[in-house]
Amino acid sequence: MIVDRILESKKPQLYPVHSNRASELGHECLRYLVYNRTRWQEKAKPSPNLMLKLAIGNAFETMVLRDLIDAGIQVIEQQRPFTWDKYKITGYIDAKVKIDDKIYLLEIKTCNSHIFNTLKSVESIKNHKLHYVRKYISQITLYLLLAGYEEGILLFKDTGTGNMKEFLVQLDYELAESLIKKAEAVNKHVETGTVPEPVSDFSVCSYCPFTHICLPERKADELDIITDPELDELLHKRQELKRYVEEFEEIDKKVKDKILTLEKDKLVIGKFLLEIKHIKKTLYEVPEEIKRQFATAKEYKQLKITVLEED
Amino acid sequence: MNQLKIVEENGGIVSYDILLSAVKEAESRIEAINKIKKIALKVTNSGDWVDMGGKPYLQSSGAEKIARLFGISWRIEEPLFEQEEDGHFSYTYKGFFSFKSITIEAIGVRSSRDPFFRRYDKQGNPLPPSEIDKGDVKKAAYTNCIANGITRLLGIRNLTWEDLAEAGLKKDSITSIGYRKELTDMHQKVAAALTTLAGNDETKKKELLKQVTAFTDQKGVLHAGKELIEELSEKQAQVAYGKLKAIIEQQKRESK
Repeated sequence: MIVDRILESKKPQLYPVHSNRASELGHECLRYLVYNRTRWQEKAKPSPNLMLKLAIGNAFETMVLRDLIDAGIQVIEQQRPFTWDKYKITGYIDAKVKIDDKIYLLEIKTCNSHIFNTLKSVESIKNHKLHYVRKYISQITLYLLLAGYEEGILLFKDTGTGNMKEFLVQLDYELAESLIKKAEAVNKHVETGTVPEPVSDFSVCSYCPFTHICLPERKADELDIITDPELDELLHKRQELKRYVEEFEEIDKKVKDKILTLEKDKLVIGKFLLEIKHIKKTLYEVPEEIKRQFATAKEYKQLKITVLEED
Repeated sequence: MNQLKIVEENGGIVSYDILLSAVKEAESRIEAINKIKKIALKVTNSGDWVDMGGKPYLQSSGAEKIARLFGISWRIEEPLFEQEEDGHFSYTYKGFFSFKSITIEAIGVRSSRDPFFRRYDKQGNPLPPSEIDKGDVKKAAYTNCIANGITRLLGIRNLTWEDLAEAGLKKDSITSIGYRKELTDMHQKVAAALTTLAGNDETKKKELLKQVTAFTDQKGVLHAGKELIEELSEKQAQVAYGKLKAIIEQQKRESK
């Protein structure tokens, strides 16, 4: 009775798209960006439930802005629109804030706890497994470039717990250049009425509102179901021992915590001699900007073992 | 006579071997299907399922997760759009799905007649098919095709709540899809009256309903009747039932 009416009122409308939105230019599929401009009216609309979720995000953003003011942070501008006619780029900057006499561009993002916990650094956002999270750095990069700032802040709010975390983002000229080139490529396709190839990463297609008109062909590596008694037995043994490892780690932590509270370097308890050694370690606390200069992308293999049936 | 007996015995032994190997093959096939079922269910979560009319239904999000794990490839053809005279329309997608050298064909069809797409005005009356979003129906037909292809290829259609429970997916954590407008008692009465008059002839039922729901307003404007019971408001259903009841009674009198 009530919910149905609310959902009905949340049916989204589609509007013509005449520009490349800064929030979208980080999208990895050029075809998506072109369709966004040329076939926007065929875009699958978000469901009313998703609209409700997005509304929560907007409400949280307003809440964050209020929190900033309550904390004495000077909010200079809010929701300032900008356009860059040459490349047909448009966007809205959430806010500009003044902290210790320095002005920063601020982009507020809301996410669930699961995503929130995966955000550890700017690099973790850039390389995030969810393609729409990866776009955030591109978005703030374009804002920085257009507004002429060197640094901006990505502020995340966990919609589940209310926790917040911030990341200082430096203007990456290389990334900015690539985004402008992308905007140029989209504009050219729009003018000439051509359609580029879709992205080859199918995980991007899974959430795409244009798959029903793009019809991407999917070619995948097939899963093998094998029989290997030796490996099977080892996996069973591994599984059996795993719970003991977990139990050991839990007890080990409890023991260490308790001994440390006793503040003695040597102790005997029953048949156990307990000794605490003081070890000196040199730590190198390298600033983020220097660390980044030596960063290289490496691919490694990670094994995940899931138990399909309990014994 | 003896020769005939030997043939019978030999025949019996051969049949037994064939039967045994067929049983073994069937057993290993069942085992494989069960394994596939377990693997498939393990990668989905409650958000990937909906309770549709009391049965678990895998949504395309879940089907795609399963496809990613198994490595299913597919190719989808351009859709077929069909426009009907009454304004309703449908989209049909055809796709080819492959896994382990097996390729199957699957289709996905969605129609504007599906109550799921129906829209209502502020008074709760259904809006005409022209108000139904073509993009929504088209996208739904596409995802329906993907989900059908994947589940058919892996033989995991028609899973039960027990299957889901074994994989730790609880029924009460799965969203139930209900259509906005349930048929009221009065709508049910209209449906029963139509069956009395037209049996199982759906076309005749539509004609009859259209006939009893058409009306001329005070300004003398004729309003076309409705063909679908779900499209009737409670009041319209009441009026339609009155008219249908009168026809039934008249037919009874005439037959006497």
